[in-house]
Amino acid sequence: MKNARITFYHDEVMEDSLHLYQPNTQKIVIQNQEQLQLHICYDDCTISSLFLIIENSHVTLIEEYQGQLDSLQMQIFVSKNASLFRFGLYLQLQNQVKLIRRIHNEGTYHNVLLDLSDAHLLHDEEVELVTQESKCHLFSAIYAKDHFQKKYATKFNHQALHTLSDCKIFGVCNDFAQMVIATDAYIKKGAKRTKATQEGRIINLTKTASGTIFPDLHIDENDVEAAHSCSVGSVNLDHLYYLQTRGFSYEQGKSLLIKSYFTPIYQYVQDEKLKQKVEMAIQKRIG
Amino acid sequence: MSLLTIKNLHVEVEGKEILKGIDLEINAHEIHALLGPNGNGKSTLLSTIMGQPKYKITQGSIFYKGQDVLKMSVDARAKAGLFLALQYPPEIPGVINSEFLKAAVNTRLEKPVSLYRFIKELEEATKEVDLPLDIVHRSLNDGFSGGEKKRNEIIQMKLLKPELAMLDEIDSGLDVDALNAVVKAIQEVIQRGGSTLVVSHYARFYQLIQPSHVHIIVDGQIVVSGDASLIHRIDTEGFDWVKAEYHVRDKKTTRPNSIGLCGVKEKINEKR
Repeated sequence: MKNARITFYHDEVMEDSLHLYQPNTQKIVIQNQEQLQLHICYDDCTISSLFLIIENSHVTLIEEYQGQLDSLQMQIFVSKNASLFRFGLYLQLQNQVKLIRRIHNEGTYHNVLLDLSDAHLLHDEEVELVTQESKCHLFSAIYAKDHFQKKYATKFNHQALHTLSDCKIFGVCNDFAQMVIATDAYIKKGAKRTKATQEGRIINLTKTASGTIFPDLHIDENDVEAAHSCSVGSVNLDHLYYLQTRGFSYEQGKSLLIKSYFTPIYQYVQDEKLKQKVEMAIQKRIG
Repeated sequence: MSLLTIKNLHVEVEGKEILKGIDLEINAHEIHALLGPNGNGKSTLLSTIMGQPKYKITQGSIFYKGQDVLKMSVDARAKAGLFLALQYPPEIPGVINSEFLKAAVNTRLEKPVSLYRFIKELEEATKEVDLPLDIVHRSLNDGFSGGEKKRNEIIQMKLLKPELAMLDEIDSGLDVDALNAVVKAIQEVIQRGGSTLVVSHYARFYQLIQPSHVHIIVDGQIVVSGDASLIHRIDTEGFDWVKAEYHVRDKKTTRPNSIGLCGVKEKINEKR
C-alpha cells in the first residue's frame, strides 16, 4: 500500500509527500491508485474548505483534527469504481468547531469516527447515494463531558436502485454535557430495493448529562428495507448485574460497559500504530 | 461447617412475595436439584443467593462458609466462590468475550493470570463445550444462539472455578454432547470439594448429573426434600401429588409440568 501524508498548519500546507493538494483550487485529487493510505492532519487549521476527489482508486483516509479549528467544509466525490474508507479522529480539538461534510458517493464510502474531544462540536454530514449499488457504512463513537455540546446530524439520500446505508452512532455523555444525534435516511422515488438501517445509542452517566437521538426515515418508494432504533439511558443494569456476578465491581463493570461503546472501533483499525494511538486515547479519556 | 445455609428466607419483588420461608443447607460434594412448577420461585432463589438487586429480602438469612451473604455485594459473592449460570444470559455488544473472561479470572487473583495459562485453559474449555475458538473474539453473547450462550456460561464456570455453582436451566437448548460437557463441569466442581445447585425440568439431565439431594419448591416454599427417587415420581406423576399431599397450590397451573428428554430429543430430531 502506498502511503501519503498531508499536514495543514494554519492556512499552510506543511507536508504533502505525494503533492496531492492543489492550493489554488483547494482540491485533493486521487486517481487510479490501487491502494493508497492518506493521512491528513489538521493542526490549528484555518482553511475553510477542501475538496477530495477519488476516481478509480481505493483509498484509506485517516483524518486527524487537533488544536483550534473554526469551521471546515469538506466536499468528497467517490466515483463508481472507487472506495473510500475514512477514519476520523477528533481527539484534541478545542473550543467551537463546525464540520460540514458533503459526500457524493457513486461507489463505497465507509466512515468511522472517534470523537473524544473537549470541544463544542457541530458535525453535519450528508451522503448522496447516487448510483445503483452505492454503499455507505458509518460508525461513530462520541464522548462528551463537562459543559460541552455536541451535535451530530447525518443524512443519507438514497437516489438510486439497490443502495445501502448502515449507520451506527454510539455516544457517552458525562457531567453536564449535551449530545444530540440526528440521523435521517431519505429513500427517494426510484430507489427500489434499497436498504437503510440506523442505530443510535447514548449512555448518560450523570443526571445532568443530556443525550437526545432523532432517528428519522423518509420513504418515498416501495420494495425497500428500512429500520431504525435508538436508546438513551443510564448504564444497562441487567448487564451490570451480569458482570458483577462474574466478579467485576460496580465501578469495573460500569467502566467496561462504557468502553463497550468504543471498542467496536478497533475492528476497523488495521494499522498497528494507529490502533495503539486509539487505544491510548480511549484509555486516557474513558479509563 | 456447611457450605451454604439458608434459613426462613422471604423475598419479594415489586411488593409481591415470591419466596415464603425457604430453608436449605448445602454441604461440600453435594449436588442439589431444585424442581417445581414454573413461576414458583426456583430462579428467584438462585438469583437471591447471587444478589440480584431487584429482589428484596424481607426476612431470613443466607450464610456461605460462615459469612453473611446478605451483607456482601454481588461481586464479593462471586469472588467468594458463588457462581450463577443464568437462564437467559444477556447480550453485551462491544464487550469482547476473551477480554471479559480474562478480566473476570483476574478479579479473583492477586497477580494477573499469565497469558499463556489463560489461553491454554480457554482453548481447553471451548473445546470441551464444542464451541469454535473464534467465538471468544466476538462480543459477549452478542448474536449467539441459545445453545451457544449456555455453552459460554459453562466456559465461564470452568475458568472461574466456583465452589458453589448454581445452574438455572442450563440444559435448555443444549444437545446431548453439550449436556455431557455440563456434567463434566459439575463433576469438576464436586472434585474440587464444591457443590452445585441445579434447576432443570428434565429427568434425563438429572439422570446424568445424579443429584444427591432433591427439593421441590411450590409457591415459594420447599415443600418436600429427598433423594433422586423424587425426580422419577415427578417425571411420571407430575406435581399434583405434591400439591395434594402437602396441601399447597402452585401459582401457575397453565403450563405443563411434565419433565422430558431435552438434549436427547433434540439430538434425535436433528438427526432425522
